[in-house]
Amino acid sequence: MATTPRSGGAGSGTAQRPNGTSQNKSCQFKLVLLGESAVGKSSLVLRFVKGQFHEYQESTIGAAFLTQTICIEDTVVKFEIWDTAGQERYHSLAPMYYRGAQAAIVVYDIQNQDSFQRAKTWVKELHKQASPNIVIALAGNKADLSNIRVVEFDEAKQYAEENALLFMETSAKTGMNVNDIFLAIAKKLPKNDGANNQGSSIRPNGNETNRPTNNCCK
Amino acid sequence: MESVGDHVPNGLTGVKSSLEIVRERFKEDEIILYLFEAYQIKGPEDANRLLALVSSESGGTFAIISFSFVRTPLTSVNELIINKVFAIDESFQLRQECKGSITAYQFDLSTAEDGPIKYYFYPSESASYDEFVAKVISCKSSMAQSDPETVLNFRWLNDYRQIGEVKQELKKRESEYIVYKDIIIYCATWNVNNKPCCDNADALRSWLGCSERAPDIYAIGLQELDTPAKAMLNSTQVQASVAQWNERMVQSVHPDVEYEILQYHRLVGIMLTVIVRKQLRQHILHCRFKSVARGVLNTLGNKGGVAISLQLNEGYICFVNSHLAAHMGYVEERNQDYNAIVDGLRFDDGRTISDHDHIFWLGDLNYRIQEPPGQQRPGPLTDAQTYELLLQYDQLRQEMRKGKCFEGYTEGEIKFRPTYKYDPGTDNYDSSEKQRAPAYCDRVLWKGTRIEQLAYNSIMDIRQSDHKPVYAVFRVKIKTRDEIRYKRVQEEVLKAVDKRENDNQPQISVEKTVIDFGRVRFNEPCMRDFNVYNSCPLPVDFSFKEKDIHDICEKWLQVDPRKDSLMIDSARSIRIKMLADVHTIRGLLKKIRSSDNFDILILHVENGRDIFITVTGDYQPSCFGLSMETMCRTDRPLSEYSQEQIKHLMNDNSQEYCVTMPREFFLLIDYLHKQGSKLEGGFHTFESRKSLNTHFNVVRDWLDTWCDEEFPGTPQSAAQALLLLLDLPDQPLLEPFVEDLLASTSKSKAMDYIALLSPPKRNVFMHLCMFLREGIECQYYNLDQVAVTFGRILLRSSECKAWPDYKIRCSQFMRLFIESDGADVLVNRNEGAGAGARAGPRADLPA
Repeated sequence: MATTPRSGGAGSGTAQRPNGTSQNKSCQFKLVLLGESAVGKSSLVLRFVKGQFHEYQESTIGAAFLTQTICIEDTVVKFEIWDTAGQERYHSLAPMYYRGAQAAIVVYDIQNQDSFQRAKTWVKELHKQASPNIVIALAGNKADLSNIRVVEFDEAKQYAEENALLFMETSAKTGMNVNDIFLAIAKKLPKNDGANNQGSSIRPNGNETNRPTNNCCK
Repeated sequence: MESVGDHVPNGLTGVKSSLEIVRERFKEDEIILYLFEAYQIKGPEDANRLLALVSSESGGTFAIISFSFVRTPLTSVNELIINKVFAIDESFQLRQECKGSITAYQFDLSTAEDGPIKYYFYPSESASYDEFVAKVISCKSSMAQSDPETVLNFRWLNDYRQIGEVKQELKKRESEYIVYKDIIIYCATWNVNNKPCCDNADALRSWLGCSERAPDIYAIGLQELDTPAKAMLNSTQVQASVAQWNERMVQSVHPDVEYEILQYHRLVGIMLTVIVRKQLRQHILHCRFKSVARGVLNTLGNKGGVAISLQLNEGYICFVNSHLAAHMGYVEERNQDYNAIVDGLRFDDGRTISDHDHIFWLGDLNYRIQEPPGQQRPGPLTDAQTYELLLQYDQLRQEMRKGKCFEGYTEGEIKFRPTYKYDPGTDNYDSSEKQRAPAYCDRVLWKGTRIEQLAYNSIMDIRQSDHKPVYAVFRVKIKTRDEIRYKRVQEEVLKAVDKRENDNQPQISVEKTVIDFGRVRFNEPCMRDFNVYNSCPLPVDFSFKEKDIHDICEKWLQVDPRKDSLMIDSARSIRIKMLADVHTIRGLLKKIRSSDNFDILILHVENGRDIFITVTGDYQPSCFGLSMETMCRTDRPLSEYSQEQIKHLMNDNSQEYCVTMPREFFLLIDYLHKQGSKLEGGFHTFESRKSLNTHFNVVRDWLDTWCDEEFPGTPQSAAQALLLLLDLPDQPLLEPFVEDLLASTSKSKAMDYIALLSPPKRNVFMHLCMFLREGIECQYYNLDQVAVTFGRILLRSSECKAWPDYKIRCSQFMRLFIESDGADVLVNRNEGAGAGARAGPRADLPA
């Protein structure tokens, strides 16, 4: 039971780094994947989270939950990813997942025109019903099969620009742009957590008081 | 919960109490035992902290979670940011400080992994503090009483300390990204003897510019800066003097690189200034200062020490400038001053002088040379042997040997003349009456690792003081993060933590994700069971998630259990009950119209995924609940339709009908008409219309099969079936004119609306009224009862229901059509739909 009291040795302090070398800010974001069935939503997540790809990814019946943390600049961004079922019969449940999400990736299959149209419907629905600040990315998946594409890159890009979406063609199979699209989302998300970056400024002027005054609100 | 009671931390009162807001941050089975407001000192400002003492029912353990928050009063749970998590396990400690007045309001929290972390609290919170401590102690002792064999379960805390876990992991792998970088530290000390600062810009260059390589950090200590008397008289003058000295110093440092003052701190005449290379500034993460006053009454501060602590990359450096008690015989007082500084100096982060990796102590330490006879005055300047002899009698070295002061400190070889006491302006030792013996008053010592002294000397040609300035140059290897390697390690750690989190996610498997009820019939409850298994090495909690309909499932389903826990390797059977009855049929038919399933349940695994369970079946269409229009589109008995076919008919909006009125309705009227007076007690009351007896299903089948045999039920069951036929459809019979009809006062006006009804509805209404009127005329039925019951069914309205005279209007409307007078008008406007009834059963209906 007895433990020796530890002196506050080096390293036990709560280091705050000024910009440039800091890794202290950390944010958590809810991200949801939407899109028609079999466009590769789960594969994108699997590639992003585990670096894997399964040729025969089983169909998602429900909503899979995974987390992945990435570092951008001085911020640790943790994504809570909800990978939803794409089948139309589950459509009515989608609002439960995109509601409260800070980011969404709407996925279509570049070989499938219908899936692109469906993606547009998703974007419309998100604009109407999701949080107004939601960051939406459009992912044209299966880009490794671009020789048999039916959705032109420029067409999707133009659509994305008109609707202020991030856009990339991705391939869960090769890994192309998979990390990049998540990274782009992380960059676009607001990361202002005021309470986490106190105490990093050092004032060059002397301060002769013994102890900072309490600024408690009493 | 009682214990928290009305305790609301200061400044945190609001519409929603802080307690309520903090509670939102926790799970249902986690109870806040106490909420205590404290603060931490972070840089120049205090950082408020909210310490929540929490118990977890599922874990059976306690913890303290420290939150930082953006503002007071708290307005939302989003403003809380978890700052630290302390599991109350056997290593947990709450240590209270009882030194001096300021430190009475502080305490440390520590666990094996973390801390001690210092918290302060406001004196006004003392009473709460005592309560808080008592609760913490009782939590800790209840932990101690638990069986030592059982491993305490703190799994629940993982949700609150992911970032902490990352930090720990990073610390463990420190060796992979820590490198040691050389920096040059230049320490300088000078007792300026109250002399003003010299005027020319680089007057101090010969003292501060002695290193070949440009130093990275200067720590410059002055003593006897101005006089104490002057200092009290005129503070602007003191400020000016301080500014002038600092300006001179920064002008006189190594000319090759740009410098700036990082921090200075002054205690009466003792000042310490830290100057750093501009480029280095961004790598300095913390800088704090503190002083300990000694001298007159041990408080005045004419003697004492000032210190500056800084964190450079991962290394902690401390500089101390002290002016200790004077005079030959006061060795013990000097030792006391030293010890008072060491014991009393604590930076705002709780760090003491010895809590640093590299410590440099400089100043006028005032230790003298214990006069060896005949050797009071050193010989020529270069006489090394003389210095050595003198130093044998040096009080500082003697005391250090005895262990009385500066334990663990090192001093480099002294190869310069004693620095005290000179006649100002000369290099001559004191020629005054006092004839003070020369001494090495001015010293630089160090303590810590990876420090190498490069130079240690005094400057003879700065002469305005009775002391000569001294400097020492060091090469120090500072623990530094290699940012590239650090990033790599950090990414690996984050990945590993994610992987652990994802791989250890609770998983359950379900036997099937589609629950097929097979044939579902009206008024016949049925059920299906399916199993869920725990398929992971942890106990798992699951529950059905509430959907947007504010329940976990549609009204026609019942799920049992709605939530449960699954131990490792165990299974649980879940029962789903399907009820297509008078209460649910309206909703079910609506669902069937728009969907191919009865419902989708969301089976949620706590901290894991959701599984969708689709509930389907094949609803056997029945006349109950179908609209008159749908029934008029059927060309065969409903029992011969499939769910898909009836769905198609329900969604058919065309105006083409196979019959003028539903055959099922017609058959019932026909039967009742023939029974005449046998309907004892007339029609059911409005209230009892939905209570079905067990024989009802034979009536259902008779209607749904167009059975040729005699009606299998009683006149009462036929009457009830008739009421349900009219009442169960989604729309009341007189929709869309319910409101208009309730407002119409005359029959002719009402007829205008009736004429606009869809033909099936209109025909049903006219036929019904005719039948009722006849029954009333024959005194089979009671006019009032019929008017009340049918009025409310045909004019069902959730909006108009609120009207005070709604019920009266309903029966008044009915009376218009079922009282004997005015019947002719009705017959004339009837398009012959009722003719079939007169001409005999089924005559005008296609087979």
